[in-house]
Amino acid sequence: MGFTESMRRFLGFDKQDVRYELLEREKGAPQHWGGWSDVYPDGDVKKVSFSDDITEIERQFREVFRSDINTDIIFRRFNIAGKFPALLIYMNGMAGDKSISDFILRPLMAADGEVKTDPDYLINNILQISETETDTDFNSAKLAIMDGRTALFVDGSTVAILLETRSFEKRSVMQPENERAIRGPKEGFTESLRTNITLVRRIIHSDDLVAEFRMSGGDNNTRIAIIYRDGVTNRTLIEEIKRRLAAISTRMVASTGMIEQLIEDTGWSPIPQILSTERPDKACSYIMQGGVALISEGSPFALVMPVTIATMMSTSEDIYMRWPLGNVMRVIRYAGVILSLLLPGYFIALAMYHQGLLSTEVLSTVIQSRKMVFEPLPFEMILLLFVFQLIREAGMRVPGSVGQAIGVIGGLILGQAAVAANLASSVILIIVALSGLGNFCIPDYSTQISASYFRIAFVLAAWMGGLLGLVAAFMLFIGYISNLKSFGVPFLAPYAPKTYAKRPFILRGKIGLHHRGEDYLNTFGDSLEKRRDTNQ
Amino acid sequence: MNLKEGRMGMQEGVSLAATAMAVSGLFTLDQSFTYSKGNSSYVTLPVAAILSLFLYLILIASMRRSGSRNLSELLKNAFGSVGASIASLVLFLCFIIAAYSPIGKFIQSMHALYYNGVTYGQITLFVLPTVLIIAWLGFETIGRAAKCFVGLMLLITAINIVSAVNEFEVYRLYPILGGDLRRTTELSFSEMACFLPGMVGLLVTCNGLNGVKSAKKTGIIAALVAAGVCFVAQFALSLIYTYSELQQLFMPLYRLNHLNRFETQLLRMDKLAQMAWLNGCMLAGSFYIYAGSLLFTQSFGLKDIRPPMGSAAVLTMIVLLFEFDGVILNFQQLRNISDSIGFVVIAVPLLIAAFIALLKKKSGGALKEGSKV
Amino acid sequence: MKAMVVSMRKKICIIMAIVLMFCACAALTGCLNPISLDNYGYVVTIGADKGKEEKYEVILELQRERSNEGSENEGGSIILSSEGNTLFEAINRISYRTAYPLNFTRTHVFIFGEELAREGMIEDFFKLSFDKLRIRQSAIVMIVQCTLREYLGGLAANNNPNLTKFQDDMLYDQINSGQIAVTDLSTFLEACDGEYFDPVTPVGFFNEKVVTDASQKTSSSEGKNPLEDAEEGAPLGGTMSLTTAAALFDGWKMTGMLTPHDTQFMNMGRGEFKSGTITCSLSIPKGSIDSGKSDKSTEADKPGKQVPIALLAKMDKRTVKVDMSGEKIKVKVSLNLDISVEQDATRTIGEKWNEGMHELVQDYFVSELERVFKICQECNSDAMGLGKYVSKEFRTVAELEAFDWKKNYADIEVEFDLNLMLDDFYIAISRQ
Repeated sequence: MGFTESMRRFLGFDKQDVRYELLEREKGAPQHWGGWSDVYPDGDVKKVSFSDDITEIERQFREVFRSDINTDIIFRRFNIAGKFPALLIYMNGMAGDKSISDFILRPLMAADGEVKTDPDYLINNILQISETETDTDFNSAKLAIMDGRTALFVDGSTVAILLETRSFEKRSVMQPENERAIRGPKEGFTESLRTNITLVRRIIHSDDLVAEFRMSGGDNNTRIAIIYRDGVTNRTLIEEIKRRLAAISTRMVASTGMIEQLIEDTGWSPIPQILSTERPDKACSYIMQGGVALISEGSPFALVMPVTIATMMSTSEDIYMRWPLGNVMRVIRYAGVILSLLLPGYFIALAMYHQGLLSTEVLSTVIQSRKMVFEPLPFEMILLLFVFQLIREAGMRVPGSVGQAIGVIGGLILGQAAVAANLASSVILIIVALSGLGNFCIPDYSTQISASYFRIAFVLAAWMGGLLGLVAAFMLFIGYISNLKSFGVPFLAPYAPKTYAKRPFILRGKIGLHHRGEDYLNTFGDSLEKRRDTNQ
Repeated sequence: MNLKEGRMGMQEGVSLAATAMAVSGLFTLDQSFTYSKGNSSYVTLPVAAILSLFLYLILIASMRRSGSRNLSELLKNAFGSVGASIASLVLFLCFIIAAYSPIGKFIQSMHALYYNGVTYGQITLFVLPTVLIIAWLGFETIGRAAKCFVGLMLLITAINIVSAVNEFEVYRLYPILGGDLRRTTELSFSEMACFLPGMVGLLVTCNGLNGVKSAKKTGIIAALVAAGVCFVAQFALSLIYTYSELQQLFMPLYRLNHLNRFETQLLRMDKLAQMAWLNGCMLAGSFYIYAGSLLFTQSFGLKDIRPPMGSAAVLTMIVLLFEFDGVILNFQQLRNISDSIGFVVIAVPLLIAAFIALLKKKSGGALKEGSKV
Repeated sequence: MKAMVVSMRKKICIIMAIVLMFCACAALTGCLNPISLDNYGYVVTIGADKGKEEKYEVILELQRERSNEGSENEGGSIILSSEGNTLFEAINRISYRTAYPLNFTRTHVFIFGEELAREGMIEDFFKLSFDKLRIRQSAIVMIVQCTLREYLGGLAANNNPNLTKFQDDMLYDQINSGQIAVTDLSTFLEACDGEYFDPVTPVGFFNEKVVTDASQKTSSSEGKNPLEDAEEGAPLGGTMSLTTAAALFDGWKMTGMLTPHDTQFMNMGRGEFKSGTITCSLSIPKGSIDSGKSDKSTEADKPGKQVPIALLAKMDKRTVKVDMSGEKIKVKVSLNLDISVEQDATRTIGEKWNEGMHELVQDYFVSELERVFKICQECNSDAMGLGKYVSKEFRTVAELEAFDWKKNYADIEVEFDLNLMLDDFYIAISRQ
């Protein structure tokens, strides 16, 4: 072997690269802005009827469910009353074996010979399942099976009987993780759609409460429920929500967070236009006002819409506390938000441009604390705001008590160390801490994050232009939220536009006087009117 | 049609119009001219507001009589298409000047009093884009933003005035009204130029205010509020500064807080107060630019308000930059001219249109009382 | 679906373009020259005196920041000075020597030397545009009888960490005694430009013999007797610079000075006397003391002698009426004063108030008011602000502007109508 040959072997020039590569299948050059060409055309799903031969039905289902490699689907052949062939199809783990054995197989097998195979007869006389449905569409039956129900086919019939046998492992109802209340209920939503609807129905015992089911629109066919009060909630609102849901066509919808992004008014807006809540009592309170809640299988959060700034800023605690205390809490909360948004920027504006507004004591203190700090003051502020966000995110990602400790340790030690190392001044640290505390006053997590973005924008504006920059930025912010709408409802309602409300929108009304829903939701019929009608 | 009008309630309309008129009334007066022969502004401004209100009510009556849903329809009913277009163009330019006036004054004050070593252009580039963006977002947004700020502005003005109460002295009012009733009357009419753009703006945006009837209520309340604010502020100024001092002060309301000796943050809020009024100025500018663009769009039959709004924005910027850069010498005179005869340019065509429309028979599309627009 | 994606992409492109345009605009503006607050020197006091080589000597007093947060009373001031023909020239020369820009937004006091004030040079000084310096109109104007260097040096001697508050406290302490007339810049300019009245300013003095608080502290902290170096009879404690009394002006020119006692009466005539102790000696008439009653009668109690009295006066109301019908302008100043007797060796003023004491005290007050007014008239200084009321008699601006108040001021006749109410006298006759 010559030198060249040995080098070639050593360096592996003769070896083929056998690593796996995920190659593209589309033809042609990509478009200028990227994107795929139509390799996967969308197609309409047509209705497919069943054959009357259960062997053919079994073959179709085996094919579609890939039963040669996918053993989750169970195909059970048996005879009704010993003479009529029948087929049960269900998903292992999703459907309850005991229900199937005790309430479907046993009564059917043990039926007497006079039994008819008509689906209605079987449902009314033989089957001992509480919820049953008939269907003639192949795709519906397929979805039902994947959902945990059992499909019963009788030879000679083209109708599938769908039986409620869902019995899968799920998390029990626990306290909400992120929305704790001292005086309110301690129950939170779970990942089970049925359980969540039950939690809502336990609070609202009203005949007009409707839970409409539909598919989410993702290819994973998650079920969602739209909950509202029929005859109270504005019909056009419901239609609009349904229209937006119907327009969803995406790869996967795994949670309400994804649905929120797909149906909201302005996707690029930092401020959310839909409220996401873990608390059934909170969702119910908005349903009773005339709002709509949306729950999804697999997600412990309900979406509530439409929302306003008052919705985002209120907690369940406000109405469980007595009226004066509830109002004080609200006022403090709003003051905290204003402090959070404006304090850092205002300080920067004063410190960089308008020193005359500061009193001599503050001026001396700030100058002294910044004697050896090398960064420019605005940069120091932004850095500390960023570090604050880091500590907060780290605390959230780390589970349990360690996460809480990180928040405390990070705040104390980092802050002290930063001041000692002349990376930050104590005054700026206090301002950032106050601003952060004000930020935590916002009940909704998404709104908290967006407030953090705006806070930094205000600091930058103040850095560039002092009070002028801050005011211009604040004016744009007010213009932006004035323009924002959530399902047709202006975000600043009931303040701007002024709608009917017997109290300033920051304050809470008296519970005894609360007879009608929010005016801006344009509900039909109030409980007061119903009471009057009843009395007549 | 994309007119970005939306719908607005009475409170928002009142907030917007009152803010625009009060800002124009308090901050756009030519001090050296207004106070040259005594101080009567605490009477002339409210009287000018009331006179503007009378003109407004005449126009409202003619609109209802002729079945016009907004000002452009009234002008068309009165002058025909060509005449209405010319009148609209004139009013459009008046709106531009009305927008430029307070903005220019505030930019000048900030250049002189706030920032060292910056150019007018740099300050303009903070103020003008904000005004334009707010105007761009539409009438609803302008109104709601005005509602958000009106309370703050009133509160800050009240605090400023109350903090200077110790400096009030009655002798500064003398000679009462300058002792010249003729001049007081002249000023009352010329100062209508501060209030007419706001009132005319309401007429232009009648559709957004839910109809002529609602616009009437809004206008009455807005005019009275603006008159009240102007009276209180000017009266306070009259008790604090003599007429000869007021002649020399560029922005006397800003100086009010300077008289307080205490070191506290609350009472050293001259710049904060100025910023609150700057908000009002920006809202006024947005309103006037929007109203002018809407009138232009409606009169010329355009389908989208955005091109005229862009033009209005560019015109306002040009006027501002010309003034500050001195490209045209004595451009400041434009503001003085608008102060003295601006009301004639606005009021006369409108009065003529109102009377012609009143005299003409009701057109075919006349509205019945209470019907929705 | 595809159309929706394309239109959404177009919208995103447009939005990004607009955002980039605004970012570009913002970058074009640049920042508006921000300077961090720790880079400034904050001027607390501006002083001007006659210069030796040039027109003015301008002295600026800057607040010195505390170098250590734990130290008490560490602060004081930095004093900068320069000569120049104008204020700006002097300030520019000062700024060449300092490493930081000067910030005048915290300027609280204007001080002028007496010589400069008497020559009327304050007008030139103030005719510059103060808007550029952004000095608040609430800044106090005062005159010093010593040199500015002495006065400001005396103030700085105590190393006070907050000079503005220190100066304010000194002034307000005096205001409560009525022995000082405080005028802010706005009032000063209004008086001089408007000619309705004349300004009155406080006067500063310097006493180098004072053993200040700071020097006492320094000595005691070094283990020495804090009064070891004190001169015989030297005042102990406080500052070397003090502010009291009033300087009278005729327009821009200083024309006279009032003692603290006279300042109290001037303030009453001006309507700015809130309260204060009037100390005087009154000649109690014969028969007003019941000689058999008091076992403790002294030499001073003998009728006809001057008796020291201290009266706490509080002004309730002041009205001014002007009569221009005759040849001379007649002004009647009516004052309501509440009197509490604080010190009265004879113990008669309170007890015999309605038996002649009222008239005695009233006559004293009226005579003092007339005497002080005469002083002001001789100095051609309308310190009592009577011109404001005269100006109300004119109906038109033309008439008002044609009227020469100062020319007529020399001849006006003023009548003081006093209404004294006795509030309390028990403190003078009882023991605590």
